[in-house]
Amino acid sequence: MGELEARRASAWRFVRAIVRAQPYGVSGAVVSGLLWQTGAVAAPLVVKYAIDHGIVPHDHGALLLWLLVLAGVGLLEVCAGAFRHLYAIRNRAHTDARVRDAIFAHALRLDAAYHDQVGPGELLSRASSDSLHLARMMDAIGHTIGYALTVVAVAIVMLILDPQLALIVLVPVPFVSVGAWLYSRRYERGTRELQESWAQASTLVEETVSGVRVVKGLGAGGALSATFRGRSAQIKDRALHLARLDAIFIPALETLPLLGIATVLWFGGRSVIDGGLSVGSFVAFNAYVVMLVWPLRVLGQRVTTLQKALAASSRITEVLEAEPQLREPRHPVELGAQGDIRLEGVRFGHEGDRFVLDGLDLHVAPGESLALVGATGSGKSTVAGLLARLYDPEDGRVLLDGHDLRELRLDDVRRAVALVFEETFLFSESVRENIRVGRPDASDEDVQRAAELAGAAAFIGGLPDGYETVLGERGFSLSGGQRQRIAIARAILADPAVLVLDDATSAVDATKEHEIRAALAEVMRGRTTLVIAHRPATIALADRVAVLEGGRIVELDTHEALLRQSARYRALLALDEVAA
Amino acid sequence: MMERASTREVWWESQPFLRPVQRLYLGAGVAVIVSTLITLAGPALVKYAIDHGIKKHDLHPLNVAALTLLGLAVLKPLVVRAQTLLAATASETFLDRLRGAAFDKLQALPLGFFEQERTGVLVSRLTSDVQALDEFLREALVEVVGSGLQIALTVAVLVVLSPKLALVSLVALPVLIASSWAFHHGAGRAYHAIRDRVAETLTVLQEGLSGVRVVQAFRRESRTLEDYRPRSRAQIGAWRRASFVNIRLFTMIPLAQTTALVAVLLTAASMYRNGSISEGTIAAYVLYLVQLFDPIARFSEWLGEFRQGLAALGKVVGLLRVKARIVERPGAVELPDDGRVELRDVTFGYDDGPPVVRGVSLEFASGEHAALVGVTGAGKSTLAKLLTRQYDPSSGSIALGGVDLREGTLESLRRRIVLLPQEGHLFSGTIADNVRLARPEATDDEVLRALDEIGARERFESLPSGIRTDVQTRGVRLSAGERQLVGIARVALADPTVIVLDEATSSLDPATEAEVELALAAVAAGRTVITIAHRLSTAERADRVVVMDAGEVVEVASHDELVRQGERYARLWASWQAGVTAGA
Repeated sequence: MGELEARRASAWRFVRAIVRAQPYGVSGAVVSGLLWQTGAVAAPLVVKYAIDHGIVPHDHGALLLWLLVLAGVGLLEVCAGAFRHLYAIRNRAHTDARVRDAIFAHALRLDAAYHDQVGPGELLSRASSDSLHLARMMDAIGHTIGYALTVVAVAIVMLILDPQLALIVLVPVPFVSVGAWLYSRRYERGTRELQESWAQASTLVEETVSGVRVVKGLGAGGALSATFRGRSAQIKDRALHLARLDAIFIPALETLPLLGIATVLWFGGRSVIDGGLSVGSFVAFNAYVVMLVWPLRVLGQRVTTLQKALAASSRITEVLEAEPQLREPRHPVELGAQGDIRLEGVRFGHEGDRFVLDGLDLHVAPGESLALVGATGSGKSTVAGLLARLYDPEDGRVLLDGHDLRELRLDDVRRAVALVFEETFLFSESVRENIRVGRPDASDEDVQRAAELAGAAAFIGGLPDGYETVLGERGFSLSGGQRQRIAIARAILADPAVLVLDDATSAVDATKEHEIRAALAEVMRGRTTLVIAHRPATIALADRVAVLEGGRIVELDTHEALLRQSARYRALLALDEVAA
Repeated sequence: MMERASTREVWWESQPFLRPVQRLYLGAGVAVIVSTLITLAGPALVKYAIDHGIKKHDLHPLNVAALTLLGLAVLKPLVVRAQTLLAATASETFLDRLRGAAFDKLQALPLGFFEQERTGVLVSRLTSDVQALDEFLREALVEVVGSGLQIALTVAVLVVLSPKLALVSLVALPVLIASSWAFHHGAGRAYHAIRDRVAETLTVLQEGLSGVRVVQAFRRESRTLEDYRPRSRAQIGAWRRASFVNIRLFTMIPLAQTTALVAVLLTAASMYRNGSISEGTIAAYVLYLVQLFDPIARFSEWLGEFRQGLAALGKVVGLLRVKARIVERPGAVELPDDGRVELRDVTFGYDDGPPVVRGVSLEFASGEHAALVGVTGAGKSTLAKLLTRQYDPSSGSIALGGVDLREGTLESLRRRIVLLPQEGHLFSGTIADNVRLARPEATDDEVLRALDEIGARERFESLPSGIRTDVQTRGVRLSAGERQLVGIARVALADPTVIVLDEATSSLDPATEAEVELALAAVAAGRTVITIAHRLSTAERADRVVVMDAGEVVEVASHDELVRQGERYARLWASWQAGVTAGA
């Protein structure tokens, strides 16, 4: 099976699953749709009886009776119509939410390697824009099935009235349906392309707003506007491509009933004149052909709705079927979390034809602190990511307390190993909640203690609402150093067995770093800590220092010893310069 | 902040986008009228054929009717095709312009706006709100013109058939009016609520997805989902409420129809008794009355779409109506290529707040390298925003080469003065694309030259795909130092006269740090550079140091002199030195 077929197959599966996921909504919409349709068809009949049996014979009683029935039919239409609409919107909103929820939940499960490839803008557009096509399909489902049954019922009645004439009218229907279906497949590709353009445009908006300081600082607004206009024009072009498909499809659908009426007139009229058909039947036949006009038109449009939904589904299933590369073990080992970490022959990451980490061995004993030093691109952050199992090594093993991380529950690993990044991501919540991220049940006192230890208490006290201050998106209002101190407070509060500080104090002013140095020393005491840092003062806090170069540890000793013995180390820290 | 725009405001703001497509819409409207007439001609022709042909056993009228129908069947697709294409072109052009204008607006708004609005909300304005408009714009005209014509013609027929019964049919009117009123009463709020909930869900999604690495590192997946679910449910709830508003109108149409039918039949019965109406007229009248409610029902469903579209358009218009404070004056001149920067008695406060920059007067010579120093909150960053005209001073003036920034064209302002936040934000695309952010037309050669200028060419060319390497999302594959180098290369390519550098707060490993510093020195050569210094080693290298405190300039002199003076700067310097050497 080719890739395209596989994609179509999974799109179909998803569409079916979406329909099946709402049995009550769908059956409610279909039943109320049918009842409404029944009422709409019955009303003219009831009126006919009221005239024929009430008004014409001057039978006042019968007239009132039929008017009562008419009122009943009207009431049925009102109720069924209301439910039909409520169910339609319900199906729409729930489908939209279901798709969005599924994508978000799955995206949160997918590991860093996936998110490195697929950005938030892409995922966002699938969750909000592609879901819309499925929502529209579900919105229409009650009406559509109602119309489809109307067509079948009308066809049956026509066959009973005059089989010969009915066949003349109905014979083209299967061919037209197949033709319409084949033609409509073009919508799938067109829709997919349109959705891709939308995703690109929304990614650009997302990136522009996130990086607004760079954009405005550089005066790149004009250039970005030009780029955006290009993408917007592409959306327009692709939407118009779909419109051109419409411009063939819809006229064809609208013309068919006219041809049907002309056919009935031509053949049926002759048949009446020949005496083969009564005038009454002929009139009725015509009325039924007219009744087909609207349902057929709507059904035709629904075919395109379905194709668009399929296109959107295939984009959605692309995300939902992506498997996290980090698998949970089937029989996880229980973890006591002493904090003994060991990397054995670890290989990871490609840079051209060589590995970034190439057979790395490293051991940090429980309670020991180790500084990892190396040039940019030497793979220090990769080591940090491997320890927290954001990635799995391509070769070799990462062990925590003697267990391969792959044998442990992901949750246990993440609880045991706290990773503090260089770039602090703040949630749009209060300072307190932001610190509590690692331990949601922590008391207010614990939060404050952690903040004090991290050297954050002073500036938090100066914020407008103290610990209740809500931090703006991405913590816009705090300086880099302040954000990093919040991150350190997070880690302190989480109280992990292993703490990995990945350049976590880089944005704290060097003049202020000594303020939190005591805090770091306190945090590191009795805790396995891996520190990635550049400042000698921070590195000196660690028991030992490992130098990473060429994907391996090339030196391992105390800071003082390395300073004395290693020219490479001194060069790396650029201390020769300072000393001079 | 964005405010909700009233219907009238939406209408006025949409005019510039509607005007260019008016003709297209007009054409589509004509096509709709023709195709509606063709549709209505069908039954009329059948009636003609029955009355004049079939009943009289005359083939001729029958043939005429059937062939005319055949002719119409050939004509109709052409008309519908024209209508489809015209309406689609009109609405897509409208949306394209609207999107463009909204994006331009984002570029024109001050930084402060972005500190208050969340990314997800702005993304939703340009994407989901615009998308919500699409179907409405295409179908609206067809439905309004088509249904309106059908309603008008049917009413005319009804009046001709029996004026008295037509009068009686008006009993349906109160039902229709009451339900429309009830609908419009709730629809505005209901549909605005949907747009708001959509924006909120998008915001949570956006934040969750941008911060996914942190979410996972702290095992916040389930917590994040828990936070998200109520918003997602709220969006369902908003739809639900809108559906209850909708049924006030939609479902009352059959009620109006039934009321009219009952009243008409009762009246017709008494008229028939005294012989003032024929059986055939009653039948025909009733048939047309039933037909009348078809377009009314469709029209009412369209009103639902209309309210939804109006709410979405209102959101986009709300963004367009936010006042851009930095605007180009009429008769603005090109700012000169002259690096002299003068600040005269500059005072500034955000939104009527207390001034955060007070009475600052400074003069920077062309090619001078100055450092702004001061504690957090001293006003350095605000001064940088004023220098790059993200804001205008409340009083006083800032001039480049003797020309007030407010007298210059925005284009020349952005070209002459750039703000370089040192931590580099990357856009998806290649390294080369990122370097040419401000000048997309720059060739690869120019990009390479810019990289060469800052001494980073080799570093990027040595990557497997060279400068065509995809930086991937958010630059996860480029190190912090490399991201900074890309940012500096952007400036080298933009070739400004004045650089306002917001120095990186984070430190790099010394080797990369040295590389970045060389790059900065290269791009600074021959240009006026004003650095917001977080590291005093930068101040030490500057020609002059400007020390700020509580919004005022308190010391200005060279590093050596300020250290000699032994005042505020000297104290900062002493504490910095203690910090740097403590561990060494």
